[in-house]
Amino acid sequence: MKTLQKNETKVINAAIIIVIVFASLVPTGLPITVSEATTKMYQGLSGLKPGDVVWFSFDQVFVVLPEVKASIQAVLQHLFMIQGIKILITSAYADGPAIYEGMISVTNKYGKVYGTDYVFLGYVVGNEMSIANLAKDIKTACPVDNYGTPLSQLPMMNNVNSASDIARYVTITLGPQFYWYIRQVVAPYKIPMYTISVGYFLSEIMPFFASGQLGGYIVGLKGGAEYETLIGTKGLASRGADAMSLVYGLLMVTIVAVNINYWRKPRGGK
Amino acid sequence: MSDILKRKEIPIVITAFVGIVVILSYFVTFDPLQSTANTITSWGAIIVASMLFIGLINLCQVHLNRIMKREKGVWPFSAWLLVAMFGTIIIGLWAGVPWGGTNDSWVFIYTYINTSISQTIFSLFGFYVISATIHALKARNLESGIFLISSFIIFFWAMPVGTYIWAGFSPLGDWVMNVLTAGAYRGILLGISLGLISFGIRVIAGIERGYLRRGD
Amino acid sequence: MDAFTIGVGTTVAALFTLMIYSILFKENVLYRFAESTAIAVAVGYGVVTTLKSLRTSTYIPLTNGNMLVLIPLFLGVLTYLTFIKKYAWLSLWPIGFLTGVGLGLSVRGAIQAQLIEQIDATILPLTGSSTDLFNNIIIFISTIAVLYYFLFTINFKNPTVNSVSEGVRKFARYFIMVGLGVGFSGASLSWIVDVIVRIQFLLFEWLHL
Repeated sequence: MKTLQKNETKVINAAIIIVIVFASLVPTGLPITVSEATTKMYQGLSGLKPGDVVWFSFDQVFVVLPEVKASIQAVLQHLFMIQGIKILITSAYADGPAIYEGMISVTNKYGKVYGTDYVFLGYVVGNEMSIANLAKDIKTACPVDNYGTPLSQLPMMNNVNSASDIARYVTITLGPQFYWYIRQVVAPYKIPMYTISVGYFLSEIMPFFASGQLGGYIVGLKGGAEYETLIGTKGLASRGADAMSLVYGLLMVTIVAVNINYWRKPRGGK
Repeated sequence: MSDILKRKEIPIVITAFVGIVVILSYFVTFDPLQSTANTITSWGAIIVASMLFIGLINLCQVHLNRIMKREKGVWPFSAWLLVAMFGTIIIGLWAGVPWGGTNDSWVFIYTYINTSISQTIFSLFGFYVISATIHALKARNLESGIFLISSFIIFFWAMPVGTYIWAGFSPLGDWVMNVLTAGAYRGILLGISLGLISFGIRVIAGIERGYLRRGD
Repeated sequence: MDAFTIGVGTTVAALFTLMIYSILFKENVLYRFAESTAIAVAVGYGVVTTLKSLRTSTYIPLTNGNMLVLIPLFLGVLTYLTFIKKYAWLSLWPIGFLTGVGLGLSVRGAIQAQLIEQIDATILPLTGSSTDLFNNIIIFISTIAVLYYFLFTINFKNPTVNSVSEGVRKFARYFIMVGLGVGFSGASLSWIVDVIVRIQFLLFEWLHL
């Protein structure tokens, strides 16, 4: 017992790994319940009409990709499914282009043509400034696409000049850069925004969802599993959902046990 | 003349002018003001891009220092770091990335090395957070009890087995987030926004000068 | 990339993953090697991709005849003088410029997006279904109480007023605890998922289980 207490951290780490391995190898396949926010996001994007332009702000970094990769793929796949819409993809982070290249071949299974149906501008440096510049005048902020082709040579960009030409704004929220989108795009141009958020920023986006500035959101792996359910596919997220249940379940049981132990002892936990 | 140029008032005036133009352009419809603000924000992005080597120079300074001093147990890793960093840059330039190009070596580096290591380092926090959660989530009083209960509701909301046990966890979790959390964080957000605006005004007015301490 | 390269890459990624996870049990040389590699590759990658963006924002406009971009380029070069003590004062000019732009953008956006629209969203109708009415009242009261908690830390001389003030602050703390609980569990969700995905990478993509 004393050895266990002395090596408590190592025991917990080993237990986590064992539980995840077990849950991954023995999936339960429980159904996914779709939340209100995910439904609103799905409905908001499904309501796009032919000719509408979606601006997908592909602001992603490698470090948090595991949590949101499935969600991004599901949303991107959904956008490619919708007939007749155009997709403008940009990135305010250096990692964005590499992540985009890894995803595009997996998600573009519906015959969309680059240059006509979707365009990728690549990394536009400047953080909040780059978002503001792109919203104001896309062709001045970024005169060529990720591959060096002038935007004037891409048919899709003929009628897309600023955020005023955008019907929906889809973003990826990793942290405080969420406020860039709200301040520089949503507030001035009144475009409906939907976001794929990481779990640790969830509570901060709540006021914006409640106020309607954010039309809908999906959170991490759970959100990805929900979105996959809505678009009728089974991808990366569903694989991780079972392991989530077991790890959280173990965590909660341990917390309850610790609390029972705490309250059993004389007041003050001594 | 150089004494005049060295005065701190010059960058303060630059900050004030630029800040006022950018703010006013949002609220005042006046074409010369709008175009000046647009030029200023596009110049800002170019300045940020031009600074790309600052981090590189700083990193080289730190690690070259360690190598030259032969710091025990550290200098071999610093040497490897510099070799790997310049190797990555050379491969990227050879692949033609600044000109929109790519090749298999570049893809290999960011897919199998950059991605895997950075994600794994980040995931280490998961282990520490789980250990911390077990110790932190103790219902010592009413407030920590509320903290514990709201955490549990979200845990049940998030995991498939939670909504399988009781379907009500989904709407309950939605309500806790969209009503209770929204109200609480809106209050925090309003306070932060007022703080941000007053801080911005203080910097633009030259009262806050912390960003100028570099020149000391 | 061919299948062999993908296989080699997956193995390299798996080995780096195991090297990093070895720190969970003991500090060792393999972890430090992997950590140094991470920093090196991340910085190298960032430099190359930023060069691309710099080329797009400066070289292309210059070749199109826009000479004005030389001004911000010059200001950007001035920032490097921070390394030379004698001329470090010159680096304050572009820093001042960037500070002005950054603050200007965030302040003007915050006034509308984070202040006015959020206040507007707090003034909710007292009509509608009983559920909507209940929710609207909760949102209104909690917003005001939490704002009061953070903005007003005055001890009133009148004991009645002071006790009401303390009551509001205590009430606000309960809502803050709910919000922090949601935030904490959200953060836990993030970190735990990162671990799950990395381990599943080892199981499914490397070991093909």
